[in-house]
Amino acid sequence: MEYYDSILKQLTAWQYHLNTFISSHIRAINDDSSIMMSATVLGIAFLYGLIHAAGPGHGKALVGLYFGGKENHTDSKKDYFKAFEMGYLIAIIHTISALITTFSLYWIIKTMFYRNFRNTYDSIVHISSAVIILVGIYIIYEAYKNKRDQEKVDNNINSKSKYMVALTAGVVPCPGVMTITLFSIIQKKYILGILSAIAMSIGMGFTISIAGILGILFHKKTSNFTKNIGYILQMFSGVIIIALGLFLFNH
Amino acid sequence: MKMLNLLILLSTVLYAHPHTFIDVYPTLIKDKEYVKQLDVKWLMDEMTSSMLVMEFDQNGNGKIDKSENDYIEKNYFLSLEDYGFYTDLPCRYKVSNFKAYIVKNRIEYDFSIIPFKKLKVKGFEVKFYDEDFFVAMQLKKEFVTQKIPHKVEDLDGDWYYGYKITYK
Repeated sequence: MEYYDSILKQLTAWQYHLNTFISSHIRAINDDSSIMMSATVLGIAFLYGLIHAAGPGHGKALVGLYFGGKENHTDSKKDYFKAFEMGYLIAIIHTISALITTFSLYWIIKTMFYRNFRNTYDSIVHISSAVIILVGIYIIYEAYKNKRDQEKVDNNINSKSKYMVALTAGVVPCPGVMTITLFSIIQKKYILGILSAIAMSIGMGFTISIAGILGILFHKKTSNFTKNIGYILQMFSGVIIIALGLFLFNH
Repeated sequence: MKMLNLLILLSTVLYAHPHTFIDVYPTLIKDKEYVKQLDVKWLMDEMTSSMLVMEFDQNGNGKIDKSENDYIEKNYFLSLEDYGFYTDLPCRYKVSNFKAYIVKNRIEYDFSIIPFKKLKVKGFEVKFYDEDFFVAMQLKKEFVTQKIPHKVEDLDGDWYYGYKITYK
């Protein structure tokens, strides 16, 4: 736990410095220095996304458990590709959700932004947690059905649940992305705001994908042990995902 | 097993991560060997400040006027009571003397924390954190400028990070 605390402290410190760096550079951009400065801001936004998503949140646990609970990871390249596909699917939904929320709130309710943003965020978290619970129930149902029918489990990740997981993890807009976008809008640097949000999301997508790969590695490392208890493991993943949903809902 | 631990660890910290950073500058006011009050200055990060300024500085004159200050106190600051003003004391307390400023594009909140109990300065301990970790409180050693002996330490929560100051 001490190790985790020092990681959390370091991640927070990095985010603190990157946040300061981005805001001061976006503000300082003018016509003369725009290309170099803008490129620097985008590079830092990518790094910020990478580190920001490494901290708590952003559906990493959901993705890790999803891949950890799936059976038969046989082709490493394909499996890792699927993890990246999932990570970036979440990042894309995360970004679109953040951009829509930010622009809508900014132009529709220009004043009282921050308070409305907090309220909107809370509502979306509640909806998202309800969907997470449904994903958990779906995984348990899938495990039960496979056991009952004694069917060979599909090697491919079920696309319906894949999109559900991505939507669930990504639909809550990232306040970090929203903050950068809004800050850029206020500074009247609209394009840079959108590009920064995209750069940040590319960074976040990478980190979320790593959680999926860890889930796959976990499954592979324990495959001998879990060969005969795949059903139990899948049920366990479902229960944990439901618990996460309940935790989010009541938070 | 390591992987399992990692997944469980990740699952316990699914929700929170900081999006607002507040620099905390505490100043202890003594009454002989007892604590009279703790004056606190919060300096918010520039990005959060830019959002808040949109609403706070209604007349756009670049500063917080009296009516704007009252509005911020009523609608923003006092609602932070639900979060204990991100400040944890050994006893219950009230807050007063709220003032908001715009300082170099950043929002500053100044306020006083007055404990209900008579507490000795020696051993007086204050913690600054947000349990939800939506806000990351930053208390660096250089933020405490007064000469009363004290110690600033990290505060490890399960899924949040904060700071603790103990006066000697």
